[in-house]
Amino acid sequence: MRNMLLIMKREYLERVRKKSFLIMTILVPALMGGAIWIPIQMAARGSNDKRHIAIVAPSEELANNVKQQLIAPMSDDNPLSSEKSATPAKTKPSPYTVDVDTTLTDQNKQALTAKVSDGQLNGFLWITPESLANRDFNYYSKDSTNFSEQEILRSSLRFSLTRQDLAGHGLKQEDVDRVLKPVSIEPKRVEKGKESKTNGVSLFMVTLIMVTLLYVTVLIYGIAVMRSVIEEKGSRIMEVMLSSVTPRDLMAGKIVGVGAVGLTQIAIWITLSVALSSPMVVALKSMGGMNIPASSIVYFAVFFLLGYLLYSVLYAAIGAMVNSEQEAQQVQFIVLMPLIFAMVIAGTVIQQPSSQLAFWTSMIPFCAPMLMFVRIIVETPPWWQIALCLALMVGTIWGLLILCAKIYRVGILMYGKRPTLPELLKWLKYAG
Amino acid sequence: MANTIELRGVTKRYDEFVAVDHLSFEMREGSVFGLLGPNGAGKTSTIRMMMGITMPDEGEVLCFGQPFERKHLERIGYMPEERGLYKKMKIIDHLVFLGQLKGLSEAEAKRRSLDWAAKLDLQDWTGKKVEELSKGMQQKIQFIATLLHDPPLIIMDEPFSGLDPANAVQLKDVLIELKKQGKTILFSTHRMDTVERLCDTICLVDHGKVVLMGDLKQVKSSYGKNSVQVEYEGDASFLQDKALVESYNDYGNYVEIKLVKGADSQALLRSISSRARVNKFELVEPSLEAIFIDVVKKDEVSAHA
Repeated sequence: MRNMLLIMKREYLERVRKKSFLIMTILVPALMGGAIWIPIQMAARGSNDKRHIAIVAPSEELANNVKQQLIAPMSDDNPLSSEKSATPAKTKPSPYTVDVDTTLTDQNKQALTAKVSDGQLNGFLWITPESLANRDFNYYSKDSTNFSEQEILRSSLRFSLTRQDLAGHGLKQEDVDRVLKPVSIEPKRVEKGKESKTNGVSLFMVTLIMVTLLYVTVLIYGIAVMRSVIEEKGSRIMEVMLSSVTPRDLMAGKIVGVGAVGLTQIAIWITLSVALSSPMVVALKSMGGMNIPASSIVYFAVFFLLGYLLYSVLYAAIGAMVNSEQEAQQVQFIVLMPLIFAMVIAGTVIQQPSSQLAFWTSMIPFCAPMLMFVRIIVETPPWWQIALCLALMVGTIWGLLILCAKIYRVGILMYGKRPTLPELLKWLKYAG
Repeated sequence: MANTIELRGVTKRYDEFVAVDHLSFEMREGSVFGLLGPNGAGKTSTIRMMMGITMPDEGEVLCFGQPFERKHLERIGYMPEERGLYKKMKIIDHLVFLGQLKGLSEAEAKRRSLDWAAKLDLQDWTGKKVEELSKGMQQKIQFIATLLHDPPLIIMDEPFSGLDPANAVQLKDVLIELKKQGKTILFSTHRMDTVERLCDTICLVDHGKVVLMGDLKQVKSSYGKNSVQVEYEGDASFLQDKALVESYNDYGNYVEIKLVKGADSQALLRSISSRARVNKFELVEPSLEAIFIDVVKKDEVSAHA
């Protein structure tokens, strides 16, 4: 026990004193915050970019109608505004400048095409009588992947056509407006029988950030354990250590020591975010409706610990099996797969936290740290599911600990070729 | 309780390969025991079983007169052949860490580390990181770490490999001093010349078996003074004289010749001086290396027979 604590202390101090620890502690939330904050800012700014387009239609009325839709100020009530806007009451001036034209000649089309290609126009909408009949229109622009613009045009056009149609059927102007008044649905989350203030979009984002953070920390510290074992093998200190301590103490001390570094880092992050100085929180604040309950921080720590234990034990065994990091790359892919799978599926689980898929995948101990955590944050599953998940994880960790300790015991003194599967089984027999 | 290790019929197999084959020997307390043998003879496997790093498949290892227990390790200083240090650690932190693992308090470990560092001319380096030191210095640090807890029993696997002569002599002096203090020391090496002047008892192993064991002086005298060292210039054809020369080792500057049993050394001298110029002609005890080569050769002949 004393030896294990000494090893743990060494691992901990050596790591926390390193410059890279400080850099990581600052950089990871900054990068994550940046990764979310910058695109949001870009998207917000992007929509302010002036767009100059032309609308060519058989009737000036239709073209003007579409133009009115496009140049109207954007707000949440406006069907043109982007759905994800988190700032409800704010309206922004429309970025569009629209030219209206009724000359549907090939000549004009060529002239407009030339304008698009030398950048005077961002694009033009070409409405012919045939396309009106088919309701199938062409929009010519350089950026055919600008789907949000296409969506804006599509809904403006549809809105104008409906308006014209209704007016054509003899409805009065105010009746048309009443019929076409847009609807909106605001999700209210029920939490413990009460209405929660948490807004759906921000909950989605917060969950995604926390899960990504969980994934990153489990991975970083799992790999840290592996690298530390490889380094010990490489520096040939293993046998020196083994003349004083048991392989079990060595492995346990290392895993606990590195894990403590991880917890320290998370503690620093939480303190930082409480102090509101973390860029992550600033980013979240700017999205509005940010509200992390204390219980999810506790769950975060619990799932970090369990996930870390699970993966670090595996990584320790891999470290003992290989001789260099290059060799480890090939093997660690097997370990990475469930983690990646969990991340891929996390998006679906956030949206359907009580589905069959979510239940079964969150019970797989290798995915549970992320997926069960998601479910707890988003919907709080029944207690027995959480308990079962935790029990499965602890059981798996225990089993792996016994298995990997054996691999570790034999592996740390083996140099040379990486073992094949039958050789591994033989190792388990030696370690008996 | 004697400060020694005894092996009884110890055997270690790796699959079909028998690394150590029913090896038995006992160390005398206060002696310097040389475990000698060529590469792959099973020396390191034997030592690992003494240290409880691996378990024997058969036989038993007795430490201090008792079956092996982990607590014995606190009284053994072991320097493995595969040795290393944490590269990023400061020397003094590293020594204190290893000392603490052997049961010393932090303060005591630090005091002893500084004493040893001063003794081995490393006092200016204790604040440096391991990776800043030369290989030889790192090995001296390793040496200190092995002895930090003042063990009555010291086991060293190839202790002088990679050291320059000056450092090797320095460490050898320390070991002689420890021997005078009554410590029991076990050496393992394939370089006979380095231990010849240190060992009391030797145990030659080859293919996992003991091929020769005993008091160094007795072993040598049992081979008798039937070896001759000759320095000469000129014709070397006398070496092929089967009537006188049983075998020889050419060391470049001189030749060590093993005489045929009962042959007269004077006849050899006459034979050489008639063809070449003799600068030195000396009747000697065979060197350990000559004995070793001789024994291993015989062993191989009988193994193939």
